[in-house]
Amino acid sequence: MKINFKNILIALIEKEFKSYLRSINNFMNMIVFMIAIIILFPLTVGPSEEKLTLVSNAIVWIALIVSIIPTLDKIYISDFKNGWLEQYYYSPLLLEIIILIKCFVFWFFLIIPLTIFIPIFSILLNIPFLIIFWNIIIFAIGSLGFCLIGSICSSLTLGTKSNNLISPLLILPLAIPIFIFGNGVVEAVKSNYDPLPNLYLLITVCLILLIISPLISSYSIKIALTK
Amino acid sequence: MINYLANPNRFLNFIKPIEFSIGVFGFLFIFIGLYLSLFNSPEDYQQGDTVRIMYIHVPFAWFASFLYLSISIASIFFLIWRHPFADIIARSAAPLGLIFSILTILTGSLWGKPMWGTWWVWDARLTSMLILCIFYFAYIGISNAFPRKIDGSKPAAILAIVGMVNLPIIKFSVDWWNTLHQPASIIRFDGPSINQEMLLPLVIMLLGFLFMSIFIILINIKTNLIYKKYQSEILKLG
Repeated sequence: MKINFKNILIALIEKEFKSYLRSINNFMNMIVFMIAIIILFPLTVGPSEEKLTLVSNAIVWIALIVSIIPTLDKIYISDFKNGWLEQYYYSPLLLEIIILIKCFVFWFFLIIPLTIFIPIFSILLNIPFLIIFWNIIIFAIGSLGFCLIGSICSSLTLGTKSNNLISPLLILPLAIPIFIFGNGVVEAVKSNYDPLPNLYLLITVCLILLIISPLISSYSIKIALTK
Repeated sequence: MINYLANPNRFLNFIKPIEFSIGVFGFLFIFIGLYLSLFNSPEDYQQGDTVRIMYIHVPFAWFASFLYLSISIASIFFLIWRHPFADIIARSAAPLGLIFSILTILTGSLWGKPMWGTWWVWDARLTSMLILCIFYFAYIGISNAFPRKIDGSKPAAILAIVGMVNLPIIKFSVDWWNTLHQPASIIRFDGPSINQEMLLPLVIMLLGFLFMSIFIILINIKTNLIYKKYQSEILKLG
């Protein structure tokens, strides 16, 4: 059979998509976790509308981020355990490209579907329509950066005894620029300023991660494979 | 010189005569510095006696970031030339840096309560220092997370290099953002703006911290070398 870049690409995407379809349990867990956080917040803060409008946007963000973090450090772990990563390493394609494809598929099939829930939760928490719109845009862009950070962290922790404790420590400090600029966009919209500068900064952070993350991840995957 | 000292045995022989005197110097400088800062330095015209927290807060903060810089430089050496001794130096400096960064935050909040009225504010300098602390935690966590301790050194080195982004943010956070924390007063383009009488005890304290941290890191390096030797002996015995 002739080795064709396009064929490999399609096969890779198909394989990744099928593996996510088979582990649909993870996705359901994420959703249940998100709903639990959304319900818990009004119960603990108190149902008064004044208090809730101050923090409502933060609640949606926290629910999304906290439910994503446990899955972020498992991008490579099943591939590492059943030997797929070695096959990727020896394949004619560059490891960096495969990592990029894996991140994109992870982002597209696991994170983007979560944007459906942003309007639902936002309506529950009385967030105005304009901010919901911006929230969806920020989440779609920022979560790509999130996946790329997750790729760094999950490749660094390959082969550890238990990576539950370390990975949030690794992810949070790296993800802080995304939080800051995402929050900047929402604050600007709330106070009728131009949100675009902050949005551009957010996109810049994600583009820098798009360059750096595959390089670091492929290097640390090579280290993990040669142990 | 670096090549010569990169051998653990030669390094141990080299530090043997000077190690004790480094420790003595450290004790002496810190003792003199503490005396000068507590009894023989002027009060601040606004802050009164609480300004004396500065004489330990600034050295803690400086050496927390300086030790992180040295860890990441050692990590670069380790990743490029693959010399195991660089990894041992980085590992030995990490716990001390973690303690320094925690103590920076603690002394800072003790100083902040009487001056600013709060223990903690989420402003740029304080948050970036907290992130440095988290990076230390992550570094130590990841370097010890693997079943074989040696496996953790390369991922930890990568993490240390990635975390280097934070260092310029800490240094320039007071210039880039409007913060409650006061701007830099010692390392500036137009020379130190701090009072001469306050500068002297601070410099002595900084020297004392320098010697003291070198002394503690040397002890850590020796411990790690002994541990490594012990592990290889176990491997030999099978």
